[in-house]
Amino acid sequence: MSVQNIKNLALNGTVKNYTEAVNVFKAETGRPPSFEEVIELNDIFDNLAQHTIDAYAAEEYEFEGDEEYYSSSY
Amino acid sequence: MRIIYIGSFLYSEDNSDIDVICSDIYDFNDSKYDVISPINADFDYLFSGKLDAHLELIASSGGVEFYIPSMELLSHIYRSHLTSFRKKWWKQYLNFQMKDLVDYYLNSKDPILFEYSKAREKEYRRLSKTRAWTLKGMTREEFFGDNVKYYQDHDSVHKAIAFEPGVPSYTYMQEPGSEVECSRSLWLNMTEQQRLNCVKEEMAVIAIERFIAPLYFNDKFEELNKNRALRISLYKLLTTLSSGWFRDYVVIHGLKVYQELSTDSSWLKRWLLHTKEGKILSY
Repeated sequence: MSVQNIKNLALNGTVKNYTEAVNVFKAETGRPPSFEEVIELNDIFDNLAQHTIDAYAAEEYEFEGDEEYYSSSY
Repeated sequence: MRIIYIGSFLYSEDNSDIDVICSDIYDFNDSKYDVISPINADFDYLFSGKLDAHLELIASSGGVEFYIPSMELLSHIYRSHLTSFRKKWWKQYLNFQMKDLVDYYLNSKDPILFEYSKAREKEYRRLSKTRAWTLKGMTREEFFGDNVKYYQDHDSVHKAIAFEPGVPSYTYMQEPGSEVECSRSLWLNMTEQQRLNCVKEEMAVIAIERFIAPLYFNDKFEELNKNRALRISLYKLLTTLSSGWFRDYVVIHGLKVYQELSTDSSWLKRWLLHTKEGKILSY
């Protein structure tokens, strides 16, 4: 299973997001993706996504995690 | 008592979430109202009458006055929200970019609006204990003396991902003889493309140094989320890692830069290639 195969699965809607893509990749190849492959898997969904303000707003993204990091000066 | 509507519902069809700011405690008895806590700057400007030219009274009852702000005033309020940490910072940044609010901000002329938004920004920074960096007079040691664990030499990363091959954009605005200080006059002499490249590089380098390199060097490849790294990078640039004229530019153009970096990962591939080939010095 190559990244191109996963891209095809993403295009036909079988694989819906990055996490699913990584899981399919590992199940099919028996190994975790390399860093190059991880970048390409990210790219698949970035290229499929709409990049408009409305689409970004619809994601309801919030800054999660370590609040101290976000509010500190570093 | 004054109640001022400030939410995005003012220019959208979504009435499910209505943000208001009130000069006193008021029970709306309706869960769709989200009451924003006023700060001193709001009492000094919004509730004092100084901004009445930008407020429209839409209803009045029993001593309670309801107002809607002009889009100009709203743009200044939104911009001031971007100064410090908020869980919904990204949404608020998108709000500022929506419905021409950026244009209202850029075209606003009334000095009282700028006084008000600067007062809000200053107060938010003080309340959140957020310090914005200024590079003036800063040494290289001070620049890197923060709490970030660096894996690679900062300048090498800039050079690796430069959008003009081998020429980091910050070099065009670097104050002669200074280690990290930048010159506004040199910035103003740069072309628009060079300025955009400069912001792209800064955003990309921050994303790499703080979020991507730590994953790479700690074998946590699968956790890579390029867009999250870029969003936090933009957030850091607009809150603590820049100030003044550079920040003013990033506030306006940051979303465009985010879109470009998000849809084209060539910068990330260049960084990886240079890292693997040993072309980036260790920190």
